[in-house]
Amino acid sequence: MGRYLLPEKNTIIILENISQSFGGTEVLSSINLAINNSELLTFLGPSGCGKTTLLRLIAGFETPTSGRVVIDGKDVNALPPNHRKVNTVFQSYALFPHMTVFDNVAFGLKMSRVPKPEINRRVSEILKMVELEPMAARKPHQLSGGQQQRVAIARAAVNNPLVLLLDEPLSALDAKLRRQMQRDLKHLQRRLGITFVFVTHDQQEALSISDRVVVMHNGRIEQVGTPAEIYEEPVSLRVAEFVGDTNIFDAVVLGKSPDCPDGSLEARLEGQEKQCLLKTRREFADGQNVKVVLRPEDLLVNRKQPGESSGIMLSGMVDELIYKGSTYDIVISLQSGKKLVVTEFFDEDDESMIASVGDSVYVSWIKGWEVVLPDENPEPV
Amino acid sequence: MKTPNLFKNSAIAGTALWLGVFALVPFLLICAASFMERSPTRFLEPVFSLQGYRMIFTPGFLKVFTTSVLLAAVTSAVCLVAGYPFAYILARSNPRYRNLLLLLVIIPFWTNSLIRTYALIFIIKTNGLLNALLLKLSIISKPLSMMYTDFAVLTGLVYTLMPFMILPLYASIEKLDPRYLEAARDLGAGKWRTFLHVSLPLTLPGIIAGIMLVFLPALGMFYIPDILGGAKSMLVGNFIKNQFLTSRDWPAGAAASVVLTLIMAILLIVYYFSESSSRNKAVVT
Repeated sequence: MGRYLLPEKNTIIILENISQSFGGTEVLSSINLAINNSELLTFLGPSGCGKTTLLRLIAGFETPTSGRVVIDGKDVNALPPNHRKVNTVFQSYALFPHMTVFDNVAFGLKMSRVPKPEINRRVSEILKMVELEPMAARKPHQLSGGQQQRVAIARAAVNNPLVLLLDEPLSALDAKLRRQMQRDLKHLQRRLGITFVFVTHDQQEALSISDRVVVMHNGRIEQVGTPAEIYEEPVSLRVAEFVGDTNIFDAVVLGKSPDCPDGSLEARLEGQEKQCLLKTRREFADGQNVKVVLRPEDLLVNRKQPGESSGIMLSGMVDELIYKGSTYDIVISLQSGKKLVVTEFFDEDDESMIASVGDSVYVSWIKGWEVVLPDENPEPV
Repeated sequence: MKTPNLFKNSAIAGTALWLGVFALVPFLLICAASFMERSPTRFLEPVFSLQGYRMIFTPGFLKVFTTSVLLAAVTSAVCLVAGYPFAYILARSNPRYRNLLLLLVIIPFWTNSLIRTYALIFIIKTNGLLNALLLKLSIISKPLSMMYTDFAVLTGLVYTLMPFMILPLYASIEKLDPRYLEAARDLGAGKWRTFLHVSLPLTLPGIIAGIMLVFLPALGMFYIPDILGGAKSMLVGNFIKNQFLTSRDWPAGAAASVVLTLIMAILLIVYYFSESSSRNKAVVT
């Protein structure tokens, strides 16, 4: 179990070519990932994508079928969970029901034979940090869900692990408490300076708390990037559709635009006579089928037909208005029958923005905000 | 709404009547008998007397009593130590084999325990199966005499009462959420300390229930010491039986029964209060 050569000094965990099968079913396949010290990294994906299995591999509850887990420069494949310097916050919290809050939090320190005065000091300190000091003598069943959640975090964090693993820790809380806990977790992570590896299926949660997001699907990593990269520059349709709402158009690449040197493509969008310009850094062949992804907030609704010069305009009719509080969604049927969703903010100064059902409208988008992706399974013509 | 209520009430009334006639009334009769005098002709003389109790508060009976308690305690301990690992394996086994294993625990109930006790004789008697095996394996050079010893009685009690230990243990171990064990491992506890600090306290209700189900019958069981212990082994159960059937001293037998029942009742009450006080403490703090 010698020192393993780190590609970067800042790396705390390396997952090297990891595959995992249970009874012949492959749950994870060739996962390669380096987790940086003191970052908040999120595994995001639908249920069954393997994100929890990956977390359990790091914790030591599973051994990979092939590949290896390296923590702090050491290959830990053969190391049981109690010898790994990582701690887990379980989805169900798994607080010991027969122990008080204090004893729950002190458990890890007792197991590593920390002297009693130091246990008392550290437990009190962390309970103060999560604002549960007055509850120290209670049993877990006497606490609310949010309080139990904080005990679970304190119980794991008090051991000063190299990495704190959190398995959907907020999924049992109601929406308001959840947002509060997301902020608290982020603050706690900065304060402790510990690496957090977080598992969630909630894309909003992943975007709002993470330094980096790992989008997973079917046991594979689809994309790794900052929340902004994941949202604005998804590498695949799957990522685009999983992270946020989308409007997706089919298009055919006609060629590089001669007027624009920045790599814009000329393309024909489905149901449109006119060519349009698509901005992308990717390379596409002429005649290739592509998908154009536009977020609801990237689209603009105009009530009047604009002039010729303003590029592509999709005409349609307002089908439905969905009030969302600070925004509203406009569902628009295009002439081709395709439906679009556009998110608009209320603008009190501009009456003309507010459409009503049955209005004819023209939809355009903010130039450069479109995402062009290769069509992964083009339908046979 | 009326029919279910009628059904419920009649079911409760039936059970209450049954227990009243066949458990409460005989117990009250025994209580009454313990305060009467023995009669050479009619078993009992209906006059108040403490003769029966005087008969049993003697050094002779106290010795019988302490031997019985000790034997029952050792029986419980052996059942617990042997039954816990089995119950644990049972509860954690593949569900496909689990029912089969459970069946193996329950099968002995299908045969009369008296017959099973006689069957034990064939194994442990001097020219029995166990000695034959040990001789064949050259572990011993001459047969051991195991019949009519405390070891034989202990073997019989453990054998007969083992399922009563395993079943409650199985029930509580099966309910033990494996996520608690994972949490303990995650927090640095090895296998042994996980067991000591998490599994054991969380399965304590099953342990206590198992001990109650083994300890109390072991105190009163008379035919196993009779058959396997012979005349040498005098336990509370045998003492009571002898008072009634051999010495014809009904008041003494009744008094011993009452004392035994009281001790069991006290144990049950202590168990009940220790349970509810630990629950209350949790709510108050």
